[in-house]
Amino acid sequence: MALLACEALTFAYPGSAAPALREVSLRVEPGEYLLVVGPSGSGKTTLLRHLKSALAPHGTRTGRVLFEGRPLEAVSRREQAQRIGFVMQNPRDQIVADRVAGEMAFGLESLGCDPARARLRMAEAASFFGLDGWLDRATADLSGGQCQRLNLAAVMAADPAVLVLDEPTAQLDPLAATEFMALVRRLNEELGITVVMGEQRMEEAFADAHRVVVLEEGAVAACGKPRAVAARLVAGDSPLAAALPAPARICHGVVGAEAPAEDTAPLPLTVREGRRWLRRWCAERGHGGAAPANPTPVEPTGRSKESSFASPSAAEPERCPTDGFGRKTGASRRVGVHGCDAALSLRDVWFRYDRTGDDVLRGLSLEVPPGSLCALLGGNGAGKTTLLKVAAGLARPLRGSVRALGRSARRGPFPGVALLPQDPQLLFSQPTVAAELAEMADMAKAAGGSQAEVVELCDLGSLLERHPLDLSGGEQQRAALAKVLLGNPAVLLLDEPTKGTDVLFKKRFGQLLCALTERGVTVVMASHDMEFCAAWADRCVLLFHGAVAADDEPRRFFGANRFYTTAASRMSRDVFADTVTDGQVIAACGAVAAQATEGECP
Amino acid sequence: MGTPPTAFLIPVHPIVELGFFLCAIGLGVFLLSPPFALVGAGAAALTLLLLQGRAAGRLIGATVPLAAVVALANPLFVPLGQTVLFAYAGGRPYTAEALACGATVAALLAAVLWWFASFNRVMDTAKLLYLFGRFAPAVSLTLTLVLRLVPTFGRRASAVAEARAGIGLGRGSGAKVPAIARVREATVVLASVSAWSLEHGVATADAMESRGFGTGHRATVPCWPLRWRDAVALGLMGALVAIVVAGAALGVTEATFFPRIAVPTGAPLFGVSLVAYGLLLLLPALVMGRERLRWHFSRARR
Repeated sequence: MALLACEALTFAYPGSAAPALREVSLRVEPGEYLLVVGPSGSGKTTLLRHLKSALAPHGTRTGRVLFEGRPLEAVSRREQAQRIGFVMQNPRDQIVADRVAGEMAFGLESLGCDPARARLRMAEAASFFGLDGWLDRATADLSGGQCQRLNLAAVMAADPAVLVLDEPTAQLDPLAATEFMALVRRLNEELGITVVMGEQRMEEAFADAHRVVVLEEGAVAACGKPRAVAARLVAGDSPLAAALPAPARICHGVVGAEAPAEDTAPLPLTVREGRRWLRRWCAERGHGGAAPANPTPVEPTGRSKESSFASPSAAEPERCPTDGFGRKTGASRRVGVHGCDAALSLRDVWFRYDRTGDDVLRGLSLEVPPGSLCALLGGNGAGKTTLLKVAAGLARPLRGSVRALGRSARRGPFPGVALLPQDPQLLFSQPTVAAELAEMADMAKAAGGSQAEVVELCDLGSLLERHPLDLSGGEQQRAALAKVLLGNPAVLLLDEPTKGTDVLFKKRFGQLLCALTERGVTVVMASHDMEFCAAWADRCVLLFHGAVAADDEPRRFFGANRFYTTAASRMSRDVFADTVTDGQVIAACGAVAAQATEGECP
Repeated sequence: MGTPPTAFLIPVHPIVELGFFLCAIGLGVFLLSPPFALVGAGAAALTLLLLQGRAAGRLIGATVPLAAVVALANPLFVPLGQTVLFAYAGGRPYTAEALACGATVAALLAAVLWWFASFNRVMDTAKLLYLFGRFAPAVSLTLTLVLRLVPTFGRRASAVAEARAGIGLGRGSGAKVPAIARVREATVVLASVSAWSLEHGVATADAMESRGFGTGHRATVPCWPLRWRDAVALGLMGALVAIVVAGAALGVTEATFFPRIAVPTGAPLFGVSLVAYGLLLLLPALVMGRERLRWHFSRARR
């Protein structure tokens, strides 16, 4: 008997003509790890919320949801609360108590668990999730990743049979997201907990899952084992193929271009499988396998060659459509030229938040030339956000000089420099997007920003009358960016702009940033998203312990790193030198294939 | 915010802590007599200092000028009393008695404020929930959420203000910002924070319901067993309170200020109840002091 099942579930929100779910039938067996994927707006959340009566949305519904063979309505709320654990997207919203221990106890208290047993459950969960050290901490002081781990622990303390997660990592940085996914995998593998997870970001979860369900416009488009689903997605040229793990995208880009119909090897889903596959692929074509000694890459971007590899795969984000990579090399030539005309220049900057606190920036120096797209990378607490605040003039350094657009620091923020914070909701205060933009336009009248142009650039036309807080994560990011751009900044500082957004948005966002730098806007972006930085930035700066640890153009930057680099680079580094994006690996493979055929033909 | 409550340094049952604060604040408000008010303010300040250290110093430093204003302003409203210090505004007297009365009231206010600061520090929501949860689970949970809301609101508001300054809106956009613009900016920030909190409150309510809140009997998990030490403390506090109340019934805790100050020092129970009051208020300080000494001489330090 299936643990959870949907039978021909159709659902429409009140007032909307199109149903959000169409005839969804689904069976979740005990102990299974089921991944529900789909682009934003495909009905993932609606479906998952139907799996628990307390969260089921209001609207017209036909079909049934069964829990252990019983209709869900017949299962008491209390039993559902205990047996079906649910973790939602926003880490902070789910927290009720003010201390970690209280939060863990909340569910058990609500279920009327007797104190001795509840303490045992809390102790178990705390040690499994590694929370022992911070039981007495205030929940307000936890980071997003810690909050989400606490939410998971609090739900698991009630000992549920099935765990339903609705995009649990969308608000987390990639490192915290990976940690969270590893926890979920452990729960499934070591404790046999049934897991149903909705995710936009498939990199981590795809290989872990037993089965994958693809939702498109509320209907099940594909369902099956991860490899089969991945193969179906790439074969169908679905836009979701771009969200597959990098090895699968690369393999498809190479093999699909070579022999579209041929389906010999299963798609690699992890870096380990990808490496094995790539090694064998290269060996078959007589490529040495070892990385070439010379650090200069063979112009592998492939646009100039007429081979079939030149066409970008679904995975490779299309750069500025006009000139491909040409502009990038031009811009990167400027890297390292420490001219006095830098748009942003920090020299020996020291900063701390508290008189007695630790230094967050320790003698940091950085120059960003005008019109470049500079990515700041580094772990949590490396000082990325602080650096942006200092650069915006929101925080005054203890020592050192900060100059933006040739002006040195004075009281208050720099004019012409705008900071888009990590949480775009901080910028929203009006009832509609249009009012948000009008508020900014009023202020910026003197600066001469044209509202229609910005709306066009950020693709907000259809969203103008919506409430900003009702938009999806990517839409909010675009609306906030539009608001910032109306001020016509010459230096744009972005804090984690791709957090919680899907692949399609990232591509569009990268193009938008490119278009901005074309116009001479300087963009500095703090990000954990290595794939995005490798594909779009002119220059990557690694912050470590409050200072710059590495500063180079993306290819050399990621090519030189071993751990801190993109999946494409990790997969290909012992075969090719400095191939750090999917497109570069695919192009390098194309060059190998071309050599191999040349070798055979004459 | 970040550090856990000190909880008087030794684990006592929350009922003892709550009882203590009820006594200290409840008695403090009624004992309008200079010696009692002085003892109260002194004990409150000492307790707060022992609990919070440097941070308490700041709060106390901020309260003293406020109390001074209250004390100094009282004679302006109350022209009674025999000892005229000086006359102003065409012969209106400024009297020592009114000043003393104002000082007593100010000390009372300061003491209550400081007791509440200590209360906040010691009685975290888990304890309040534990104490009141069994009588009124919904009320106590609402209380927790509201208590959490206040600092969350504040943090969010400053984040919004900073974010707006970062894009050139709000405070940073001019060297001299006129008051009207500042008020307008504040309302915008408030609108932003309220919309955000409504939006996120829905999700919190969902999370609570999803975890079984309101599905029936509710238990309280953190358990503080009532030990003999707690019983002794309760008994001692009860005895001390009884003495003070007895004194109050006999009128020794009162003082007359007008026409001249009279404190019933000669009354039979005056000394006893003042000492009892002091001892009662200093109980946590004594316990904390003893714990510090014990730590000082403990093997752990060697």
